[in-house]
Amino acid sequence: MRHGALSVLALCLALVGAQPAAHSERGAILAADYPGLSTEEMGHVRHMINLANQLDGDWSLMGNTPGGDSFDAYQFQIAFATYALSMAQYHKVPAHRDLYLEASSRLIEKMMHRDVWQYWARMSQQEIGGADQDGNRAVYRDDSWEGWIDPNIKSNIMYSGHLLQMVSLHESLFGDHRYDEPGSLSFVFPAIEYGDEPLRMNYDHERLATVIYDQFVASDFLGIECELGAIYTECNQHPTLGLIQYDQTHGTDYSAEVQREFSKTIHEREFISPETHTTMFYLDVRADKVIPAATKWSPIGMAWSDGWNGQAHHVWDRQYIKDLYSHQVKLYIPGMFRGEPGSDMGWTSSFDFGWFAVLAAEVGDMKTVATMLEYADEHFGPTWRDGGLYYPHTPDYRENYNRDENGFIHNISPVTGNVLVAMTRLNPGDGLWTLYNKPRDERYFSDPFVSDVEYIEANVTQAVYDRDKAALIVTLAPGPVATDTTTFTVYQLDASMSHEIHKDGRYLGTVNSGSKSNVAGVTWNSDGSLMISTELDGAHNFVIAADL
Amino acid sequence: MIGSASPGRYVLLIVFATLLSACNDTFELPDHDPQTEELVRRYLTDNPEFLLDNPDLLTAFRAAARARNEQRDAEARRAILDAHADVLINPEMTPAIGSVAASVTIIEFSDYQCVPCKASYPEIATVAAADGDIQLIHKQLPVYGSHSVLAARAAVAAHWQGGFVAFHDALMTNTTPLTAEVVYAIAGDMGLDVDLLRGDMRDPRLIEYLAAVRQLAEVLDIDSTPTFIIGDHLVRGGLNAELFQELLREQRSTGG
Repeated sequence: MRHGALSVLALCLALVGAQPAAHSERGAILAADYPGLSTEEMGHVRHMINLANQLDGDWSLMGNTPGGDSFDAYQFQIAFATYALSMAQYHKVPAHRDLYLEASSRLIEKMMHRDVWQYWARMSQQEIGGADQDGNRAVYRDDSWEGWIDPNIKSNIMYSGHLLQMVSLHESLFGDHRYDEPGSLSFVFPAIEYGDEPLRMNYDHERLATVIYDQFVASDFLGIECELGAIYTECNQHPTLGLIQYDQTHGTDYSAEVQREFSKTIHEREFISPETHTTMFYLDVRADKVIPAATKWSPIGMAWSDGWNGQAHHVWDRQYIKDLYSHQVKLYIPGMFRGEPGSDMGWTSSFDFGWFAVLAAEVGDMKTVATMLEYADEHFGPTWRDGGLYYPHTPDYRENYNRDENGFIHNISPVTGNVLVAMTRLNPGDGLWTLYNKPRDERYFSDPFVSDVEYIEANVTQAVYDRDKAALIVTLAPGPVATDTTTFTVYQLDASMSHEIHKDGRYLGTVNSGSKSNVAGVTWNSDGSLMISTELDGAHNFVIAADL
Repeated sequence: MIGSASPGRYVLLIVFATLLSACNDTFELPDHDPQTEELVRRYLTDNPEFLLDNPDLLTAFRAAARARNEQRDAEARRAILDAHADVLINPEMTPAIGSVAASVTIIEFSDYQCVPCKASYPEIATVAAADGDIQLIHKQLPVYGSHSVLAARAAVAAHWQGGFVAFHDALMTNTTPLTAEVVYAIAGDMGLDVDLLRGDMRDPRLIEYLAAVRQLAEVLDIDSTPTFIIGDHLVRGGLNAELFQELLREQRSTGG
């Protein structure tokens, strides 16, 4: 008798001090063998979802950098939150979709808020071409700014590339095609003059992808300008990833050409320094020359730039980035961690840490990742708020880049504190690479999944469907609002099969979809879904397995 | 012929009109006189710096533009509110205090953990009670996290039991951190059936209603609490009694 054997096994585990919530069994099914979210990972997920749930136009905890002229800009926080949450959903809780789908659509909605993108009408007037190495910009455009209101149509790939990647991720991960609808990505700019109608610029997934692809072609695959007159590799990685998934979900073939040709550009134009193996600052289009990354603060290279570029480029040229990383990590680690007390680290001090940590996780350097996470937890003031974990930005993050009195990094920017450390922790190694190179098959969307979980009171820390064993593994943990009991619902169970239900390693009973459930707390809904009720005094694990 | 007059002649005409205006309070230009309007339009087109050189005119121009923008926003808001009437005034879901026949209707979007909401509460309640001719529609817009969501659900569930006013008052005047325990204790103290309340708080209709309120708020471009719609005005942030009364007077004077 299978459940009898399980009971014995559960007793044995109890005798050796095993945690019931972590060692639930059904035959060979051990919850601990499956991925899930740790307490800290769940905290990061909740914090980013809490940010996504803020009202449109409420940028609390996100600093005060609405425009695109700093890496703390809302667009980067929103975009990288999407990437981090996507990895969490794909790798850690693949059988729990709705919470992440909703957050993804809210983040896309925020990306469409005028506070996020209307900077381009102003910033497009200023060319970075001809700037000196301190970034002083010398050239100003003189044609009409109104023609630059549309944030996607000309350059500004530091915005449109992220939007494309976000929308492509959404469709790929959730099978949700809402952004294929014409006008589903609609930008509204306030009336320029009184009496005029607001300007409305309508996009959808296809138009966004083709507008961006066309710009790649028009640039002869030199890359699309991020700021006017300046092409950065890291900006151009995001549309490349967006096109990869666009192709996967639409049967097109834009990305292969972009990868092949842009790769040639990177090598031929030496976007990566062959001497230092670090990413160059940018290509000055007007001067047709690549500007080295060296500054007075970082005489060798810029960790943020290597991290940002590498984490995405790794998706489509894995070994090349791993090879570069092996040089880069020696340049930056552990040097960035501690230095002369009070010394000026430059305005990228927080970004250097954040984006390099993201790269370390993506290439699977878990030793460095562990060191960096420990550092963040020790020096960045980890804070729990409404079930979410983050590192609050320092009040003077826009002006104080000096090390603290002990020589540690003082500056914590919102993008590092809200999303980059989170993304680092949520990446199991090769996290983005896997997400893009092993896209979900159609069967995934017909597999059983968990839903209808009360977000304010419960965390889904584990939700995995093992297709080979026809078993769904679910773990719920208490959320911010205390409750005695909570419920969750399982959809798409095979109605032709009986299903055993195990809770915390104990066999509860077997249910058949054609008959009333005899298992306490388990109810068949009229739509064929299975609702399970549980106390929530701590984490509880469930295995719902077809009786094969 | 006005059409062939030189700019210098316009200047003379304007100066003449200004002098007449200064010398004689009874002098009035005709309203919407096409010839005068064309004269002024052409003069200002040719001499836009005239506005810059006359700060009082510039100020008046800006005030007129602002008033028109506000009017346009108010019209757009009215259209949104009309389109969302099912969410707005659904009496089963929406707690409201005062008569539907009141001369002024106020819609308040608030959160039970929002400090300015709590600070505004007694000011508004006092004025509303003394006035007696106000309908106050309460929209729960939980923006301060999970416990705000919990309290918002509890408030609508309390409304289902006919106990909203006392429960709302207790939550708005509560000074302890909001937890599930506190919310249910307050409900019990108010004489509400707590088990029924807890069950109702999970009712999908209630949850969908609060989602619809949030959607309405975002369509109205509301990005924080409290936000009040007082007739044609959208007022962001807390209100004291004085400002509230002023807004009421203004609203009644314009018949909005």
